[in-house]
Amino acid sequence: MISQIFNQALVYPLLNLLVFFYNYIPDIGAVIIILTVIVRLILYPSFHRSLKHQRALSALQPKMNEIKEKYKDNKEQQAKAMMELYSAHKVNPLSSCLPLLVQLPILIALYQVFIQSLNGAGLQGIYNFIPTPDKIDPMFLNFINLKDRNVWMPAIAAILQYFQSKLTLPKASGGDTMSKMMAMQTLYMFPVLTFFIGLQFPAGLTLYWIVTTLFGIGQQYYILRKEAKEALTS
Amino acid sequence: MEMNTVQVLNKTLALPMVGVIYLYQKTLSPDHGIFRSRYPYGFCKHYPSCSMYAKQIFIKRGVLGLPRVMRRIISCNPWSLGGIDLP
Repeated sequence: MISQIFNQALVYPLLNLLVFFYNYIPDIGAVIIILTVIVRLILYPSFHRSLKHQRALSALQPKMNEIKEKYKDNKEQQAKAMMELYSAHKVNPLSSCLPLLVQLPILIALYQVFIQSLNGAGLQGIYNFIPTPDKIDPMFLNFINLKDRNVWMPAIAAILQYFQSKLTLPKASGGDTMSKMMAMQTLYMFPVLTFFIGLQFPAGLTLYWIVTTLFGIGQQYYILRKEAKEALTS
Repeated sequence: MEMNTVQVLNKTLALPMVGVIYLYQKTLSPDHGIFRSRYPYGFCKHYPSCSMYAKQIFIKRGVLGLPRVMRRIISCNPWSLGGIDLP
């Protein structure tokens, strides 16, 4: 029953949108790019806010490192002291769970839509006012088969992921070896993970991953530039 | 006697939720899962994190704790200041 509700509320609307675009642009790769950008634009406000908060972290960092050092052996005390620091400064650079909980089902639905439209079987759940194509051709730009796995797309996704991590991470000025190690781990572990997970999926999904990462990088650049401008004017 | 049955039922029904939260914390959770190194200062703006709070509430109060959990997650939005909020 839950999967029925999930299909009706999220999977079918997105699938119909995909078929709708495919009727006009008969290249599934282009349609995946359009759909990914639309979903990212819908989720833009919450991603934006959490990115802004992540940037705010760098400003408070010296004080946060102090607390981290002070309560090195007591994680609980550490977390509490951090919270007190935030409320003293009337900020909270951390993120919120509600947007995360809202985003997750949308992204899972998008994955399902891409898999369903690429697997060659008949499409299910198309509304009757949308003309259904006989089958969806899995070729992107006439030479990449999005139905199959390939090595290049996960490799591109991994490289982009590396650049994104590099942009997100606060500048490593000093800091203890522990946090440096964590930063290194983030910088290299995620691209490697992206690559090996990407190898298991049809190229249509890695295309989605490439587009969504590019969108994220663009967003981060935009915020960085805005911050630089604000710093100049103030 | 009847009160006891209700209590047992209440707590038993909450067990699957505790299990789901446990799995979430071991995997996807930005505060406790594999991605936690990405957030060196933590993710959730509350203490304890929302999943921790939910787990503790479900263990303590059973399914009847659900309204409290929902209140907490709704309060964990971009416009709130977060902070310490013990179960």
